[in-house]
Amino acid sequence: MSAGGGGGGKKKKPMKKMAHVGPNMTPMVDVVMCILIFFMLGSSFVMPEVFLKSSMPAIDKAGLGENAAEGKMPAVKLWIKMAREGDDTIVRAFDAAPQKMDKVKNDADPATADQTTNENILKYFKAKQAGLSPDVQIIIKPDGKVPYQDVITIYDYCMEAQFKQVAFAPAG
Amino acid sequence: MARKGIEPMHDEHVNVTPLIDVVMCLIVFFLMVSKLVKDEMVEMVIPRANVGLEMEDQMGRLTINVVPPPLKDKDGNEIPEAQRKLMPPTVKMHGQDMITGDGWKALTARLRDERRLNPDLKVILRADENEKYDWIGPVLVACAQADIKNVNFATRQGQ
Repeated sequence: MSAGGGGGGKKKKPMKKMAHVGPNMTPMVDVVMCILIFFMLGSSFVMPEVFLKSSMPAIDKAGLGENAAEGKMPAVKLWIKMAREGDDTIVRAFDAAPQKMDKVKNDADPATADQTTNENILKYFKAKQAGLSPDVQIIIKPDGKVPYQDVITIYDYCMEAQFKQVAFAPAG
Repeated sequence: MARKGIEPMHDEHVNVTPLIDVVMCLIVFFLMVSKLVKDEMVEMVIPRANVGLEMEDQMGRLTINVVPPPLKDKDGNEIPEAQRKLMPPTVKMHGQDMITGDGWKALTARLRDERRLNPDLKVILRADENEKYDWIGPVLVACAQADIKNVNFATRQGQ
């Protein structure tokens, strides 16, 4: 039985061999495949990013922005002040003595390998957190010249020490 | 008895049309993604952090880039490091320069609009590790003024 079904008693003509009349697609497929591989490899080289989350990013002069009443600032505030002196960042955290932060660790520069001061700041934060109420508001107030990496390092330590409410003050 | 030969095939070529369709779709996808990535992830050295987390929910994200001054000027000449340090960075959102004649007001107004459209807005702040806080603080204040509390600092892993 023929697949067509409608042949009846007629004898089907044998199909003629079709000549290939379209354009030759082989070079196009080669080029397109190369572009595809390029994009796929390129996408895998994008450096993965991780995020430090903040639920209370900044305080402005008026308080907390438009809806200041909703996000009322806790009564107890503790300050971490950061200042730039020459090429060094000085941290005055809570009631501790000012400390000069270590230079940002750079594998190409062995002089930056020693991170003892920064580790001590983290230890101090952890010890401080143990004795604090969770309602306490920590405010990081950097000088305008402090590099972003140092601000992030201090915020990172606050997160690691599990301070619950950390905000940023404008440069001053 | 003569053996019957194999019948000639009607078309000896593999039909590559569906393959090209699929590959073209993939290329269009990668081109669109690379455009988005280029707008969002401007090339710079972001700071390191120990406790950074991957973002699980990507909905409602808005990336603000504080882009450091370029290494070369418009004519292709290298800008001296001392001169670069004095040049202000560029604050970009959706690939657009946000610091206009109105200063930071344009950024605050735009953030307010974005917040109105999407109350669950998540701001991702990307800035170079050496950028001064002078340029980071006003972005955070603009977020506070636009009532955006979910701000995420883009970092790379490891101190």
